[in-house]
Amino acid sequence: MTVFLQSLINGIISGSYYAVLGIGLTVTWGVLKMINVAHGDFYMLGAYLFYTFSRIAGLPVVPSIIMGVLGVFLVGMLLQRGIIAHALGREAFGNSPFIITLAIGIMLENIAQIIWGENNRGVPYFNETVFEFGGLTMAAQRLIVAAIAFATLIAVMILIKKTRFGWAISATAQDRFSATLMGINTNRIYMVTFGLAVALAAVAGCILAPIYGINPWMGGSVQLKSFVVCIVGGLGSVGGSIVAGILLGIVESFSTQFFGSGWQNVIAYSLVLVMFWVRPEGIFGKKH
Amino acid sequence: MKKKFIALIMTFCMIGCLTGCGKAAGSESSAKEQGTTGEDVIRIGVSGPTTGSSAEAGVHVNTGIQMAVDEVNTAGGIEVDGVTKKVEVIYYDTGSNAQTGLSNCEKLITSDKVDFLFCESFNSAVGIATMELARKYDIPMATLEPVSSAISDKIAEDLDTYKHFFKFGWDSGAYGETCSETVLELVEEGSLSLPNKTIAVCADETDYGRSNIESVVSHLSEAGYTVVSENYWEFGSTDLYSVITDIKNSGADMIFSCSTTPATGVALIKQLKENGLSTMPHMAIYFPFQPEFVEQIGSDAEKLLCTPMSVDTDNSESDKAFAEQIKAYNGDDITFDHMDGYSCTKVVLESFKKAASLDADKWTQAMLSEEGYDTPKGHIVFEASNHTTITGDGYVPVKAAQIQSGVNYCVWPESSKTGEFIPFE
Amino acid sequence: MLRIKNLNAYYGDVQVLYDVNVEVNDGEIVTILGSNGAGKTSLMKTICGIETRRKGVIEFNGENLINLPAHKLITRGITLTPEGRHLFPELTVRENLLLGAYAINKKINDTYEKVLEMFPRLKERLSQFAGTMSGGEQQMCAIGRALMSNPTFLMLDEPSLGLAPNIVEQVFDIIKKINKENGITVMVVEQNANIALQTADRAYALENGEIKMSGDAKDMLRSPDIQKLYLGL
Repeated sequence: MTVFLQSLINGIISGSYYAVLGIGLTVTWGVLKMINVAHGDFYMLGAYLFYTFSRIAGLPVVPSIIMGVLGVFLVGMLLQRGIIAHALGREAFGNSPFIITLAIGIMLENIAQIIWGENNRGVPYFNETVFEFGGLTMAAQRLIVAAIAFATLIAVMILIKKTRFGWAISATAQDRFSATLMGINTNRIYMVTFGLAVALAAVAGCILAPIYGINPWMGGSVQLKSFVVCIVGGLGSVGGSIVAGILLGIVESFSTQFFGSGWQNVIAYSLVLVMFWVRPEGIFGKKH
Repeated sequence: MKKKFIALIMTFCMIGCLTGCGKAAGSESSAKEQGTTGEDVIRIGVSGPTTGSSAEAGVHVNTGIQMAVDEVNTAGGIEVDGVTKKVEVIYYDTGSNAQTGLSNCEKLITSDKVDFLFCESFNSAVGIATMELARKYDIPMATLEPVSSAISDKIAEDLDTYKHFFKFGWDSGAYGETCSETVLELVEEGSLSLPNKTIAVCADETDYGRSNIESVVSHLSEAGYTVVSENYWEFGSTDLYSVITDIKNSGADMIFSCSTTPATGVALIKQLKENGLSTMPHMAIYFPFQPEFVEQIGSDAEKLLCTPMSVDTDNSESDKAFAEQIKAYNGDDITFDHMDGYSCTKVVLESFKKAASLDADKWTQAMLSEEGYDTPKGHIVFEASNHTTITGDGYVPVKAAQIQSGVNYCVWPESSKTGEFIPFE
Repeated sequence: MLRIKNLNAYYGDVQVLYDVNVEVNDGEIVTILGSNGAGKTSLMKTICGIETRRKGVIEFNGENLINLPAHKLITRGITLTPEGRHLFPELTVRENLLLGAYAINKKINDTYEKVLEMFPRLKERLSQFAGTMSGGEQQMCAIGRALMSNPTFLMLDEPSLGLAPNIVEQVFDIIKKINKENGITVMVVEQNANIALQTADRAYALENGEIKMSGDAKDMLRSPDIQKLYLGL
């Protein structure tokens, strides 16, 4: 029973940050109607900024996270407004966000390597305590990760459903033409939404940095997992990403319990295949 | 129009950045001097990882190689076939990818026309692939750090193809021997308690990881130990939660781990601690000696048993001297990778000197000389049957150490001991 | 109120409007007739500044709109109910209506009440997702949404599209009402010439991107050319 509970708790914890990652990608799709294959690289950038602020500048953990996320938010907005928005209209790029974001991703990886070097960087755990009770083991770091992740999820839901700005984002996602007629500056919405989406990836990057370490290529596996969450939850659906993220975390956790660590990724991606077969639009996606 | 112009500028900036970055990443991709012809230089080719998960090690090996070459050149060079020649090195990056390694080596042999090739400086998996080129090309070749027994086996099975091929890395069997001998001795002494004789093993999912673990397992199985948990993680991964959960659930008495990625090592130790396993007996192969690991792990690696302890700057005068040499050369702190790169290159160049020729047969004869070569790494002699470095007392020692208050103390073999083992709680 | 002079518009290199001249005076209902492909929607998009490249003068209350970004139109008191309604399908009727007032920062409760009074059917469906309503109800909602910002100038692009004749009548009754009671100037672009000419004060005929005819709506209703081209007589 404790093994089951331990797996479940571990699964929910990892699920929470999978959800945060997935939302960023799904919002990019839903609002800007584009795939961002550099999503994982913004996760990486967030981790590096956190490292810079906490290790090099010596700021405490919380301000470092805030600065890291803010930094990525600004970089994201700049890239969207400066490069992506212009490039998508040009014939030369073939209107392909895939190519443009691929280029941005490579650029970010190389820039990271130049600035911070290819060595792995580490940051200390926010808290070294390990709790043990009733046969369950829980590291304080993991709980903090889950707490921040869930808080972020709630904040995003509130932003989208309750704020005027969140409405504007939904409207732009559903009908850009109409949104413009309502007085919504959709170019600005695109810019800010992209910034927000990659900032979410940065949140995950900051809180996971102590556990997984930092290197310029760490975005790769994160990109894949984000896609899985996005597709299973339904492209464009925030609620779907949350459910799918937690589902992925739990499935991964239990599958490693019973099948061993080697099968972890196989089972996760099988989930995608099953979803494509049974319900291609994802859990909360719309049928087209 | 203005928008088009801006987009164009952005594109060029991006492209410029990408190409510039590409060059920076493989910064040591060409140490070739322009304008030298093939005749008045001895050309050495090196293919190894300077980017990716093994980047740290690969870069350090190359530093060691270059230091040895610079030393020889400063002393005037080497006389071969009546002419004194300087030595020049060409480095290519593999990113730990076998395909890249193969194309690097082909280029080094056919286009750069090297006189000697280190077909792989670090990753066993790539070395196993690139050694196949000995079938196609008959030039002096060697693998530098790769340790996988598969390489030695291939050489032994086909000495005709591999007659000019050498493996500087000792055989993974050496790790198995060191680990099991160390542990069995400690158990006999009473300082280590493994009541159920059960072990958990885990490593990189690479030839290096697998072959080392295999030899540990086979040596300990002979002594009656059983494996209750065996896991391999993706090379470079730091997400080890599932592995550790498995180890925890297995209830093993002791862990044996192996990785060449310091970040993985750090994650392993930290995540073991997260799961309340920090006092579990643990012996680790390779990563505890990487400075990046030492730097990041702080006091969490206390009492960790580890091998190979090849650099002992606290108790070995020669190691201390070598450390100063490296520090003076480019400011690096000494690592085994520096030592290996330097020592192996020295042997290759000494052999050319001894042979007084670039002829492959003469060079091979010199390499196989029974008196061997003295290097910082140890006394290098090759086993004739498989052209692999012999390990043990008087040759290249594979020592085991324990980390105590941040310092490595050798606890095995008896003859090299510099400290007493402190029991795990 | 609105003066369009020598308006030329292009999708990329393809020209879709040729020297269009249209005038709408305060308090009028003006209709622009056109069959499929005549350029009606292009004209709407061009006035709004969406998608097309434009050259010419679009003067609204003395201001040239040609340099105004599309999303600022509503701040000048101009709203459009687009062809096909373009409601936000995943938002409720209530949310759609409230979004109509997105650009207005003042209190809108009065306007909201008035709009609901004008469209009692919407009042019944406030929590329903806009995408699930019938065509006629969606049209009502679209017009209601346009009114939420208290515009002075309302444009409608083919409001009769896909609606049953009796619903079409209701829609045009509402257009008349909006014009007479609320004093809102209206410009309707339509394929259904009959009802458009009966409702409007003046009319223009758009063909292949060019204005071919213009004049009093009732006169045009009786004109034999119009009758042949648009009324199928």
